[in-house]
Amino acid sequence: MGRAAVSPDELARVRWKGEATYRVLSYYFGVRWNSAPIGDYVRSVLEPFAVPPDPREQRSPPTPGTPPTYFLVKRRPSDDARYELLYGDQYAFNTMIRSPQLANVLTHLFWNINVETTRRTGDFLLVHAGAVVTPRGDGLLLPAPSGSGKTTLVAGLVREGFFYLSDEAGAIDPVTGRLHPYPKALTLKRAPEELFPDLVVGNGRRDLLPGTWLVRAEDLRPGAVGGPSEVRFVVAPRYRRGARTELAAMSRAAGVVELADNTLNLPLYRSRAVTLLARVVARARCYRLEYGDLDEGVRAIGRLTRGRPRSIEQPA
Amino acid sequence: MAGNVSVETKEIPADDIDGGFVAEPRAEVVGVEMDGEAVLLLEGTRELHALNGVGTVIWGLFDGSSTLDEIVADLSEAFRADPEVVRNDVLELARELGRAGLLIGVAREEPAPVPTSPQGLAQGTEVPPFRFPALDGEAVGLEDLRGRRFLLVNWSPRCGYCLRIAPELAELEPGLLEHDVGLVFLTIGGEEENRELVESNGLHSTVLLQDDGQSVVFEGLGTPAAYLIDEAGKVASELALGANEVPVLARQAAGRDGRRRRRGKGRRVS
Repeated sequence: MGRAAVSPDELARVRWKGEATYRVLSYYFGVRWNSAPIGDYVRSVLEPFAVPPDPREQRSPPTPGTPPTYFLVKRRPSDDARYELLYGDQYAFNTMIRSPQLANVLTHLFWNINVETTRRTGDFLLVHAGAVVTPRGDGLLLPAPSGSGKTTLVAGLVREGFFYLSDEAGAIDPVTGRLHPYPKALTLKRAPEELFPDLVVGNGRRDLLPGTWLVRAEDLRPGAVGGPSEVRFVVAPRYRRGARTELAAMSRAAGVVELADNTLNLPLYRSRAVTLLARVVARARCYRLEYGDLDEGVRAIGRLTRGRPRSIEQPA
Repeated sequence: MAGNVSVETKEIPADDIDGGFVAEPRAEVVGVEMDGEAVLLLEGTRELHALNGVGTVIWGLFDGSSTLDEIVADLSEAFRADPEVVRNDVLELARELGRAGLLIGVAREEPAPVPTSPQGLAQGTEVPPFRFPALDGEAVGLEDLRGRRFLLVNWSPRCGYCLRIAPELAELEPGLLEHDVGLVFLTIGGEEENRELVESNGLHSTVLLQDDGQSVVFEGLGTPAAYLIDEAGKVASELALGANEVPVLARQAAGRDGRRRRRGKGRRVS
């Protein structure tokens, strides 16, 4: 990942236009930029994770706990690789990517934040899953590998009144077993207005990342971000073009396997993951959902979660 | 034979387990039981094993003191079941779990090729036809690629995992060429961003721009993903999915050691 290093002098000559500090689950980092439109875009995408900057953190030498920083540099139009992403602190850093395409650099930035968040987050068991809270307040996990249509399904549910926790990872507190928000911008592969014709997304600089739509939950529905909740449903979704919508119950043991198979930090939790997931699933009902139409998939989940009896049995 | 094996000194192959064998779980096995069904994990692996109700009952009787024949007798009597049927179930389960490394005294075997999730196309399946423009503008279809093996990779210049493995695939290109294996990327996104990605990583392989979303070859699958396709245009490998498995498949196709591949997700038994 690290390519030719840039000298500290060169970085010191950059005239920065802004910076911000973020905490995504256990990952604490800063972003600095020298182009206001790029900065505005980054701010809008990462807004749910913004924390106040602490000027005392930026000291020499960096003290332990100093957040690493991403440096987004835009160069002169004559430069072949006009955009560059560097990572480190102001004294020791590496180039992550240089490209004539801003989209490549921004993609790498958001991807790396996601990867580092998963790598550094030990405070939560992270399950590769969509995560929402039903209008009744029940946690719903949608475990599935990449490409299964998680994000689109989550977006559809949020539009229908579910509360957003994440389109990437269900964050489970190992002490309470509750599902916590990781409300990153949803990464849609189609324009949101194509999926939801009545939706107006007010993100002014969507041209910066053509072909990918990073949409905040607040843009899908104001007040859409949910809070910690008990997991009451596990639904493993699979989108297949032309498929009939089918919701089939699976055993809780199969639910544990489904969640553990999709656990991102299983090596960190090892066997504790299985006992924790068993504790979580003991209070949930588990299903597989195959669907070929977003609206039908959303309706199936809506019917399922509305029909849940409130008195669910407690684990033995 | 198996029942007399010294479990302290020698491990037997799972297929040698017979009615005299005394089954005992390894200490590294972690199990949870839910609604009468067990989930087992061998510590240090990602392999999970879900047992159905019958399997869970049998597993609970693997106590390190009873032979499998004794367990069969107890179960046949308790459930008034045909002893031969019960014996088959017990032996099959013990062998499965033994192969998975869950039983003391039984040699663990590498997991058989597992159905990955999602499974993708089965080996031997004809690849669904496709035809897309390459970066030079010329349309290339499956029929143009027949007659030579090639690695078909589901790709996106906006996928961080693709960006991560691009240098390794570039490094493997000469080896693939040497083994007469082509490399073809089925990608999304525009011409410019794809060109920039391959050029900046020194890739020289064919890049096909899918103009209408995903082709049916990789429908429902994320990026990166790959199959080895044979000369007849049929799938010749398991689906490789993700930034760990795709380079392994490429290494194997290039005649390199593929050991860095992660182990599968574990078979489901019973």
